[in-house]
Amino acid sequence: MSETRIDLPQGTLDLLILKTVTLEPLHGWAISERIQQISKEVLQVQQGSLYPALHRLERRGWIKARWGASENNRRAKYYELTRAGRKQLETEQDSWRKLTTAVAHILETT
Amino acid sequence: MLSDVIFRLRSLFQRERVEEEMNEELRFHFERQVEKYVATGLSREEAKRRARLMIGGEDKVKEEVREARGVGFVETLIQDLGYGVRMLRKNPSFTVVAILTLALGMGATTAIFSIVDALLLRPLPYNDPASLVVVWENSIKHSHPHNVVAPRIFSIGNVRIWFSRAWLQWQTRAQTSPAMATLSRL
Repeated sequence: MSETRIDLPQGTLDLLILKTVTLEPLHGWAISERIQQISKEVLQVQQGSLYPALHRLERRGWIKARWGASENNRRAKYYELTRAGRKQLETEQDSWRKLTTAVAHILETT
Repeated sequence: MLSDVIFRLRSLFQRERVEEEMNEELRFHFERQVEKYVATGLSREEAKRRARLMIGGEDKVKEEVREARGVGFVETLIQDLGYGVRMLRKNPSFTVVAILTLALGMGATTAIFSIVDALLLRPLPYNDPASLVVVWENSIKHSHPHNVVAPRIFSIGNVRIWFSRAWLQWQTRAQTSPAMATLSRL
């Protein structure tokens, strides 16, 4: 619980969720945990933004929800990447890289 | 695109089930969070308090999820309709005036439309109505030169015969028109 946590820019959460579920289906809590762990506690996804994002991505057909048994043997809603989601992830990753390179350039030169 | 529509329809028509699933999903998240705090050595009460604090307003989260599912608009519409009906029931005199106004407006519009439809919009009940022509007579002598070829009507018993000399001549000599008839005000 450090003070170095930062807020996610608009639209970045979608990208992170898509990336997090590429390897295996995960439930919402696991997605937020994983984002927190991999970012070394810098990024913390609030429930209030995670679930609306998950349902929106599901609506767009980029992830698919399925009920399954969780690690502690309870019913949990698992999300997995669809083929359309994989394509979307590639596009978003691409534009994210372009954006960060561009911003870095500007910060370094001026 | 299609899956989007199906997804929204499910949210709308299986609302109770979708709501139940959403509640279960959020409850699961809460419980996992509590377990995580308990595992770090907190008491169950403290863990619950922390989890609740972290999650924030539950109703607000649910509202945002509903919105994300794309049914916010329809739900608001249904609520607005319900409100409208309740308000109308409360003010019967206003309701009567409103209904009468609408009824009169619709009645008048329908009446005017049926006239326009019969006279202007629908084709005349003849073959190829676009090629119908009216033949006029132009008399140089008369003060009112533009004149239809009026038939005369003879009555023999109760049989009426319509007759006009000019018409007979035109009919026999006409080369462009396949058929000719007279008009008369009855």
